[in-house]
Amino acid sequence: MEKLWKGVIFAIQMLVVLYVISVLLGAPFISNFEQTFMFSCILTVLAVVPVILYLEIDDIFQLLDVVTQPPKDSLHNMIILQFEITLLGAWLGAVPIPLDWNREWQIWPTTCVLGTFCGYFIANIVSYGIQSTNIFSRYRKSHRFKNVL
Amino acid sequence: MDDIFSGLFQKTFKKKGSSLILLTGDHGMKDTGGHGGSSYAEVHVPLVILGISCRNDSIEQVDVAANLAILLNLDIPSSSIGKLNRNFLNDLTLQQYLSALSYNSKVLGAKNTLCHDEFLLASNFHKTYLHTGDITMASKAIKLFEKCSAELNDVLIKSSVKQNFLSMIVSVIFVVYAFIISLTNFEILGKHIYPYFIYIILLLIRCFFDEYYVLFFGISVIFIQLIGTLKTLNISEYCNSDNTINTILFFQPFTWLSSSFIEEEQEYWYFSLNSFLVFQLIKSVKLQKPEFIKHWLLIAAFFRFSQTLNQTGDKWSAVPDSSDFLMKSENYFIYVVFVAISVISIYLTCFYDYHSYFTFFDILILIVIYAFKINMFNPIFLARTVYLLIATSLIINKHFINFWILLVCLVSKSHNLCLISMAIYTSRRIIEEYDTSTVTIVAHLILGKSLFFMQGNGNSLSNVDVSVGYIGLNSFQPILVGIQLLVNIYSLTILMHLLLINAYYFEKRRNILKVLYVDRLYSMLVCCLVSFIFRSHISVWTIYAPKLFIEFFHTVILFLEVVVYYLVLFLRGSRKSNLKSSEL
Repeated sequence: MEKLWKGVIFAIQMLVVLYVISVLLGAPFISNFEQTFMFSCILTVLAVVPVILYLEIDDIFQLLDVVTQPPKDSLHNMIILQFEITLLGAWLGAVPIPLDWNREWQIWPTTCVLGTFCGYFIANIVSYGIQSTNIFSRYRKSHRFKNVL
Repeated sequence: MDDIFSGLFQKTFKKKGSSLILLTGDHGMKDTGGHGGSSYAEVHVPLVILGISCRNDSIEQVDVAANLAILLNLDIPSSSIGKLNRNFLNDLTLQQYLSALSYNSKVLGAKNTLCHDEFLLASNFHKTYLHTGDITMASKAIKLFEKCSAELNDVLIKSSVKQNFLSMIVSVIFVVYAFIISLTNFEILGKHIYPYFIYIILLLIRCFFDEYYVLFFGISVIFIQLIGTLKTLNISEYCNSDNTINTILFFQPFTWLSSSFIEEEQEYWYFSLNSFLVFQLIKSVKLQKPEFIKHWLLIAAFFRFSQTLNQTGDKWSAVPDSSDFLMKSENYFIYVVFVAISVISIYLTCFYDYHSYFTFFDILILIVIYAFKINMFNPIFLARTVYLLIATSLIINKHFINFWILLVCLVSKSHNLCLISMAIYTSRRIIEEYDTSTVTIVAHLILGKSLFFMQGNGNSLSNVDVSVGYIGLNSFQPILVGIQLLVNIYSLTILMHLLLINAYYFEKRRNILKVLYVDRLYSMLVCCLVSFIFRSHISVWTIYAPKLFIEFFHTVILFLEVVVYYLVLFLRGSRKSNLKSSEL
């Protein structure tokens, strides 16, 4: 019960952190509060909540440690992959906004939400593929962020 | 859109008097959203006219201005190449139409003497009609006028889209050549300079003669040179770096393949800069270093704010920005405090972070600049005093970066002053963390580019605010206004270059100049290629040509920087031995 409570608190913390990060990356600060808030909710649910549930993490330092270190097992691998690709999708979702097509979906945060969903979708397929074929089992041993972060 | 238009229509036509509504656009649109191609849907634009009686027809886009001028009883623009259309001008009487035709043919005839005789003949018919009232004469005149206008219009359109294809190819090849040469060696006056002379001679010959074989000869000479250099090319030296941040610079010019990313280029740089800063923030959280978290959070929040300082680009240029808010007269107090904080922070960052010895004299200059910025005293007199003081400071202290910071303070718009201190502060933090690695160079370049746009510059010539060129002047003096304008536009980009160069020891500075040069040439090369590919694009004159022009100016400014650098070295040649690393 205490763990669940901690997890909920951490999810709310991450919600605020993701809100701040999306504002720092260019989202409107106050004027579109509802949209930005919903976007960070979606990100939290799709990217962070699985990590909290499966890996029992309740601290941002712990989260960063887990994300940047080589995984212990395939479940760990899958969850972290999902976390990364979902965030990457959300990040890449901002690309079509400046295009001058004048479509109604070309506004904050529609494209980013779509990017998040795409990232989540792709992440699930990829992790299913890894799980069923096991060909990429060594893929994460040479971890990308190990040297950088 | 329909609602807005119907409202407009009802409002306008309720009033008595004649109104004319013309609804059109500059380009069509594909159903999928793009409009840069040449498909039917993209090059055909709807044109709806309300308020006059006219018959259905389709007309050329260049004709709209001439016909509209006649309808509104205005002068036809002197650069117009359009012809008049009877279906458009259905309301005109025969006599009015004839005189309009005669007027338009004069405008067209001034550009080309092709139909000179026919026009004379038609004017004679016109005169006879005016004297005798003979309708057959009038119809003869109309036929002649219309036929000749159509012919002239055709010729003028063709000549306006004529492009010098071979010169473009040669120029692109030359930029490629310069790029490859600069990757291999960087001798200011090496043997590789000779092809450039051939290039200039070729262009001169091309101006006077129309001989194609001269160009083919030139191309073959360049190719021989190129093959010679390719042998010594050592690409691996520049690709061995494993930093993903290089990709930002490498990939960026290719976004220009979409015209929107030229108009909104700032978005790319802002997004890259923000991503870099957020990455720094996460990294310092990971390392659990509270002071780093504070620094990077401050920097990221500040640059996020400065992106709203001056709205640039095309899509959101109408959105009110922070500088508009500060400029309002009711916010004068906030404005004064904001400028004061900016000026003080410039002093503090220079004093604490950048360890330059800001003398009392420099502080005095800063105070005078502050007085100038809030219009305390006669601004022209103050500005001239500041110029004098800055010059004196340079002569006494011989400190180039201090000189440039003070000059930028004077020339920048007052709400942009906060960018200067933050640029120095961020540069310091980057150098502290990465020392002299590739990340430092790339981060400085990204920051320089972002600051260029944060100041309110953009990839359109309409963004240039000429008013900043008149500091300390009360009349138009082209050279002084031009210099001040250029200093204002490139102030922070050059400041970032100076800070970057300053971070390196004297022996390494030449390499930094080389990196800056190669990066510039790379953008220039891709820009040339992109404009070459899109030479028949619908917006080549509104987007690609200005972009090419602006890229050219970036290159010229970098060239001037290099020249000034070597000039300073030359002037200091006698005491080169005791040159410290903190001096430029």
